[in-house]
Amino acid sequence: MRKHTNTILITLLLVFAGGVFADSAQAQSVTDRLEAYIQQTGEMLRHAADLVSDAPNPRSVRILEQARLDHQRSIKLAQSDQPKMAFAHSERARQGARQAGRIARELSGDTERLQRRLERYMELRERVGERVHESGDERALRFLRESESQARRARELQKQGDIALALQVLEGAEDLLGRAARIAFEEGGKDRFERELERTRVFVERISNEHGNDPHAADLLTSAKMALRRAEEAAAQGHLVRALKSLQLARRLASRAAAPDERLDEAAIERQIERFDQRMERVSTRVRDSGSDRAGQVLQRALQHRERAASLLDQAKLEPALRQIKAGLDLLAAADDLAG
Amino acid sequence: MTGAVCLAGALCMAGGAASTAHAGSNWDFPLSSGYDIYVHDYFLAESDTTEVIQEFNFTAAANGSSEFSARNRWFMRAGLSGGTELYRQSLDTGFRLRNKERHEWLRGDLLMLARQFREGSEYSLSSNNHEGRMTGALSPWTTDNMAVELRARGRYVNYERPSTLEVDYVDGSAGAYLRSPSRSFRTWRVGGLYTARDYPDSGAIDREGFILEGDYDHGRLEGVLRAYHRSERRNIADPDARPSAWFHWTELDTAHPTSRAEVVLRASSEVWDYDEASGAWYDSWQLGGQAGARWGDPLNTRVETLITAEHLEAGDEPETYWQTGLRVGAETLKPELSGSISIEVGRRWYRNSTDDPDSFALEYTDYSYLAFWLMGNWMINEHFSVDVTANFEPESHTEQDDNITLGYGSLRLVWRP
Repeated sequence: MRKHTNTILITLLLVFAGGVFADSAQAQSVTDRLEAYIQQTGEMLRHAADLVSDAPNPRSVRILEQARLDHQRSIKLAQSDQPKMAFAHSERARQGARQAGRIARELSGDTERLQRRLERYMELRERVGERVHESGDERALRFLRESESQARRARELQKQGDIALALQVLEGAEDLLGRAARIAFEEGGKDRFERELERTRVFVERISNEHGNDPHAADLLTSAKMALRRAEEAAAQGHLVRALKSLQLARRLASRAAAPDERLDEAAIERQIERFDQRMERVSTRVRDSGSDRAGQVLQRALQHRERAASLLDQAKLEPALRQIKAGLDLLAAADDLAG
Repeated sequence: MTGAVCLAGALCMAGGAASTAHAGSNWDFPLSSGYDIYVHDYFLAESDTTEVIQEFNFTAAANGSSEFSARNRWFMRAGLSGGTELYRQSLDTGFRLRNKERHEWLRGDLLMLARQFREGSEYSLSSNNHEGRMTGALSPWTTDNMAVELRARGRYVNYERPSTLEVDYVDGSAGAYLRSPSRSFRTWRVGGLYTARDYPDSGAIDREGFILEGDYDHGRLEGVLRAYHRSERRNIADPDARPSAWFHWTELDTAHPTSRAEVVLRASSEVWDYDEASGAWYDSWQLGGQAGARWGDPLNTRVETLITAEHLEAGDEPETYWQTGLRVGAETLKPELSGSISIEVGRRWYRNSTDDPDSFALEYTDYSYLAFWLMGNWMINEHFSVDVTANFEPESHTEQDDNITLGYGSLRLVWRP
């Protein structure tokens, strides 16, 4: 754009300078050309005004208004026989017309996009909001509230014509709503937790009745019952996702107490113990850094299972050794989770 | 400012006095005070212009709803806000009626918003306004697997001093959908809608639309599949004022968990096909995509890296462009601190249009961009939290006069008595 401006300016100045020494016919030619130039600037302004009226925005309106003022000034300067100044103002008016038109064209697409996205957001919010309230999950509720607050800001920005920024803010609102939905729809839900809790409790009880006399199984069942208690505590504190994870752990531990289905192999058990030891260092550091008593207790429990596994392996008791190390690995993962 | 502080004091007292929960329903009366700032920097006439709007405000809200376990439910959220720039009021209320199987068969929603600008407000658009939106949906047939939904909606926007930038309108829509049951973990819907909009002050752009759309959403904590498509025929009252058009919008969002990371793929497509392209209305096809991965615990801390790309195909129009960027981000969802931060750097290249300086055609200049985004929520304790939002987007064009910077910041202290 600047390149064009310079070319025209030099051309016009040459014409204008030449005009000083030219005869009246040449002077008339300069006047005609300036008049045509200003007239065309007027056309460009009208074109830009059409674009701006299709997609109004405070910034493009302000730039267009300034361009109109420049255009009016160029007409007056031309009438008062100041062609050089008239040209400069007309050129600036053209720049303004182009800038305003460009903003308007960009905005016309974004305005539509924002309106549709806002409508879709409202639909999703209705659907997700209800489910989040039902789930009672504190975290999901907080994401929902944050999302609604962002969406309100997006609407405010839309009202002010700040479409690009409104789209950005709305994107954040959509993301937060998605997170709330993921927690509430997929993992949360007090109804679902109650059902899962009952199912797990019955399952652990049944395994206890059937295998409680086996000392190795009893050890695993103690861990399972501890996981069950942790699930209830987490649910009471509103951490439903964590509660569901603890329930899953309780079921896995109870299953192992009942019947490991893996093929018994000494080398495989050794590999599992090695796996445990490799993870142990990282998890214990995380647990220590977190300062969580609960994570520390679960970690201790995991270590006890690991030691029993090693001892049972030395005695060539492969089946109980496998149960113990698997339980240890599960508890290690749970400690890692609690430390987070 | 003194008035604002007095207002804050009054609101705090009111909130503190009314924070008791009622039996059979849930009530919550949060109070918040915040500071918002908007910054626009662009070239105007002969120099750079920076517009800054700052607003300090207090908000009091009342959020009520029926017991979450109730079969039939209602909710109400009302808000009052007073600030250095404007006053706002909002009311968002609705109900849900369910049958014995707890499937929703009727619902209604009402949203009302009003704004009054203070004298001397720095906002460039400062006409007082109010708007409303009412939706009703009836599901005459529901099963455990799906439901038929008939839906109607009305909406209006009214300005005290309408202008070309602040336009009054009224619109309505009616349609029918087949959708997933209301208590499904996986949601989907497909259906059609008729819409009509009336602009009392500019009847030439009144319009009607025929829409077909489908939506599928299956979001897990790890792993997402979300798809949306909408096709619309839009007829304008006076095609000379604005051409009628076909519009097709498709979005796909997936996140696939693997043993090492979650692989993220997103794609979007928007097609505008005008009966007669002109002025601001030209045929175009915008394609966008993001590909990358994220690592970490979705309920704790997660980082992601994405390559972004976008292309607008607009035939011979100068808007045709290609854009690519790299985005890195992190998010944390810890109970006491949640938020996300992302930075994207990239470049956009335009197809150059014309060398004719007298042409009416608009010209665009290539630019590099940076997009910074921060959102955070810090729970100080059970009653207090701080919300922060910040956005900063400078564009550096090959033609310096085209440089634009957008910025937005918000800091808010929330009290839940």
